[in-house]
Amino acid sequence: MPALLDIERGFAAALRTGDCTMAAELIAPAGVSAGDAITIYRNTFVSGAVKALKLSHPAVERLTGAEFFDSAASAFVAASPPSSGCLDDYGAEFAGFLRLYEPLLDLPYVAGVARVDWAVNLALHADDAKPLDPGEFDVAARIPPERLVLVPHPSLSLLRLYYPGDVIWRAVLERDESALAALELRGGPFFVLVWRNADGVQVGRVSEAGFAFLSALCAGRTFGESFDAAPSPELPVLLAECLAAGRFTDFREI
Amino acid sequence: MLSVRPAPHTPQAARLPAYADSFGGRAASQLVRRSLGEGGAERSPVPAQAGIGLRFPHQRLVAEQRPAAPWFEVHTENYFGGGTRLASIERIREHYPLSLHGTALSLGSAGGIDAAHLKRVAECAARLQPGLISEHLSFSRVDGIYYADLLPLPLTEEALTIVCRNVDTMQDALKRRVLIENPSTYLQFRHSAIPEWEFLAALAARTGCGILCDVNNIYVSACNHGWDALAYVSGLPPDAIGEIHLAGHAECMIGGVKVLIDNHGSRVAEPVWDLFDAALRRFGPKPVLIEWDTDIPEFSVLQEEAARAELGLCRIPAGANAGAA
Repeated sequence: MPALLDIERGFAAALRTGDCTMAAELIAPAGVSAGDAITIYRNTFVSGAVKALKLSHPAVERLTGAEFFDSAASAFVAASPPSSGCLDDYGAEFAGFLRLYEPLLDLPYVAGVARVDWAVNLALHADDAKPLDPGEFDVAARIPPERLVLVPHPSLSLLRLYYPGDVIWRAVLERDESALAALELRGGPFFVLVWRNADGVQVGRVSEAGFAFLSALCAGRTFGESFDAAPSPELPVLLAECLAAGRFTDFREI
Repeated sequence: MLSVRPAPHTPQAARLPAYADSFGGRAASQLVRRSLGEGGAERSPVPAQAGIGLRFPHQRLVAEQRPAAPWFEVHTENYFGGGTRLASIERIREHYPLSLHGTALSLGSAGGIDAAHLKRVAECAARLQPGLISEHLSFSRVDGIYYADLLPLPLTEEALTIVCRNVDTMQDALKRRVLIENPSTYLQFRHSAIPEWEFLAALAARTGCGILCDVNNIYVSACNHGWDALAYVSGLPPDAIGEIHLAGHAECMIGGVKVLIDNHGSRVAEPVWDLFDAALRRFGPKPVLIEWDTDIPEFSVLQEEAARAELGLCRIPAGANAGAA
């Protein structure tokens, strides 16, 4: 008798590849053929994973159409099946997959929209954390910049997009035909912030210098190092904006 | 065209099953240990009444209007992390007892359960203080891949040992008794040697866990495999039953053969109501849940189904599994 692990591996291989030949040998004879019975499970697995991608990438689905999306998502499930038992976590690599997906090679901005979708999904489900009160920052301001580290809100993502994926994302979800008609794909890169605060998920933009500053802060660099990443007179204003918008939750001295 | 089932997405005062000692010395000591961990101050017990499986389309209505319902059950994995979903269920939890029904811990995994996933279940439970926590007799995780379904296990001594070990790990991490649900299945393994009801009874006896008896799943599996559904119910130990599930199923023709699919997409079928009555006569009053996950109807339809289940609870003959309520 095969060990449980071998039975599970055999069954799993059939779900992943659709080839039920080996797994069928494990199944007791019944009215329904072993292949058909395994396919019931395979359909649930694939459709569940595809549905998870649909929920996390609503703008891509609307932009590409339900049928195309299902086909791209099924190909992704076959190539990169879920690893987490929480399907909200599934799809981090979907944007990268779409960037190289042959039917989309002529529509390179779709992958950028997928990155915005994913950042929004992360922001929706990120852990709760109380934003740093701008008033408390007075204390932080007394710490020397080379020793001050800020803690970003768990929902914060920074995206550098070659095409205006954030504009397309919003226009598609709001069914704003005039915004889509007026869309200018050139002029990138675009620097996009996604985060969640008390008002819900926010999608905004910053300048290139601001992006470099925030990327360094989010990577755990000190305030001084982050400022030096792209010195600009606008950074103090950006910092005040970030605090007011709830993008940071804490600070510490290192 | 094969039907697609809904993707699976989610406690109770300790009672020592009388038959536990017959399964060896390990059982009794474990049960005593479990019983100490129960009854946290903030936990509202789930009553022996008909509750409703709460899904996203109704969450806002329930949070804002607080409709009549004795308790709710939600899928654990839907409340990992933070954000508005969690905030809303916390509001609901202030007014209703809650049960957390997990779908992805993969208690049948020969490779053991995913520690990171279990930690998130524990965090979710600590935050929501559910009256019941349950999972399934199935596997869904192999070599780091999550197969997003409740996959059937070969019912062997080896599988029983492994599931017991994984349930022990789950109960140790959560510091409480959990309920394990019988799945709907569409195939049986050649090597299965233990009837499913005996497997569950042994699991409960060895680990001290309770059984979540899904009456629709018994009916579906019994029809698909030619089992005797009443014999299944009679084979389950009444004192281990901690909850009963009810849901609708679909009938499909696959390769010219009728197969029942547990799609949670309709009202509870008449033969399942009959089996439910038989289950109540044997088990006594227990928390009962109406589940509906595909083509989710108006909330009032769920309340109607719950009202019918409540009638069944009211009709339990005096003395049915006396003392097991």
